[in-house]
Amino acid sequence: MLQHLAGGRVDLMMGRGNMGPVYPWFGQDIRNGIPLAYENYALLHRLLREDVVDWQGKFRTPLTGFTSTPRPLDGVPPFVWHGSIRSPEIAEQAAYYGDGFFHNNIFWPKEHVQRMVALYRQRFEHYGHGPADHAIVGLGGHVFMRANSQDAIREFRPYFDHAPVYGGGPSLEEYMEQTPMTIGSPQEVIDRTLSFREIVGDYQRQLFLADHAGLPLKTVLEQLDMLGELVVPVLRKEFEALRPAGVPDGPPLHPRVLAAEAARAAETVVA
Amino acid sequence: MKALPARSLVVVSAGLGQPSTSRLLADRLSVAVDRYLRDVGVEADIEVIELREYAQDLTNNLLTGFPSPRLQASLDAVLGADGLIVVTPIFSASFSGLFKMFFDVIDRDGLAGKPSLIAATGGSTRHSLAIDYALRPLFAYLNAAVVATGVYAAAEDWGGAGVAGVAADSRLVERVDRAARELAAAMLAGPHRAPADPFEAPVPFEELLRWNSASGRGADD
Repeated sequence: MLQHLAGGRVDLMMGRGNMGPVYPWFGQDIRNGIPLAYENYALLHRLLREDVVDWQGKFRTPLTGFTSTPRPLDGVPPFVWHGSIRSPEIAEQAAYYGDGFFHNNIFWPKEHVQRMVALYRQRFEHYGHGPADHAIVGLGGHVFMRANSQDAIREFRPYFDHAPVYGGGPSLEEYMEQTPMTIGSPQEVIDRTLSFREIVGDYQRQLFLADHAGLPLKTVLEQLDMLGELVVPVLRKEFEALRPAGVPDGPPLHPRVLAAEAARAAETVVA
Repeated sequence: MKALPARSLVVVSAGLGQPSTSRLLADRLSVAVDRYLRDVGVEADIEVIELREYAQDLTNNLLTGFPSPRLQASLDAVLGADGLIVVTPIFSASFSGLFKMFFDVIDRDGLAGKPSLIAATGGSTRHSLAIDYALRPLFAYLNAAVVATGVYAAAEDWGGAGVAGVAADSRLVERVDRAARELAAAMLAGPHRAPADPFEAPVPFEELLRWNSASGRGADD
């Protein structure tokens, strides 16, 4: 439905939920986390592609002659990302279907990010969806900026020290060194983000975590402004310049798929 | 004659003092294992990890969910070792908290089948069974191949008059020797095989799907 309202500008990201107590809210059990993700997506994948589906699985009631509506806009299912922090099985799933793989790239050292993405790329090629460096990769990243890096550090430190997800362990400096977290000037955020492509290869999507550690709303909105004005335009330009020919600059979203189909049709007519 | 390949022996000591009694016991054990390996012409690469140097890193690992680079290096050393000696002081009737933290953050499957020797120190012999009711179950859970003899050293084992004319210290020497011989034999019995790395040899998706429909057990069960 959202896809219709948004004129196709929708992609879908799936995550499993990582806490035992969350699963029972949906009548499920975390020990079935991976099998559930596999089964649910196998069904969704068919529902998005087949008008009438007969289906039987383990975690829900069977479907006979079932049609999911509304049908995907122009017959193009939304592009799907499989998000995973640490389950190689989910990277495998993304690769199997030739879908995108999103790694949150926060809270973890780069060696881990590298292993997860490398596995996905290698398996994407294995399943015949194209060369490994054409696989569709998205990353996260946590940032906080001020015009001067010293001001950014000074302002963010108390939030870092007292945030349940960050505080009490390593110092802010150690944490920045050991994870992709970047607290500093816009230029430092740009440089650090560009370095991600040296870790995982050319990738297609960057999500920034800006609302974290209990920052006030006003501060978060300032961060969004700085990202939009000072960081993202430079990153787009730089990534574009660095990307080798042939590597996709973005996932195959609905408008691109339609445009490609139209171009193919036009060629056929000319021929 | 072709030289036999060297064996790596990693010693984990959770002693807090410097020097600590646990470290002294650890050294006696590793020297004895080294001697048994040399007797059959095998070189031992010995690395000692003093957990007190990683106390902050271990706390940070529990809070952040990932090890610092230096802690990672020590975890990797343990995972890659052909044999393992672990020594902890007994605090409040069990291994020390610092000792447990290290084995809480290590890869749960990484010690499977690894030849290991468990040892502990304490102020009194009354805690000697902690070897068998605390340490042995922990390493059984981790599927380590723990040798039959565990070594507990109390204050009175380090010299003293002993009983009936036998020096207390000589009994400790005997236990150290027996445990070391058992560990050396286990290390020589064959190279320890590391568990399969899911990143090196991924399970094909079709197979994962088949498990799904067959047994209801997930790949992470």
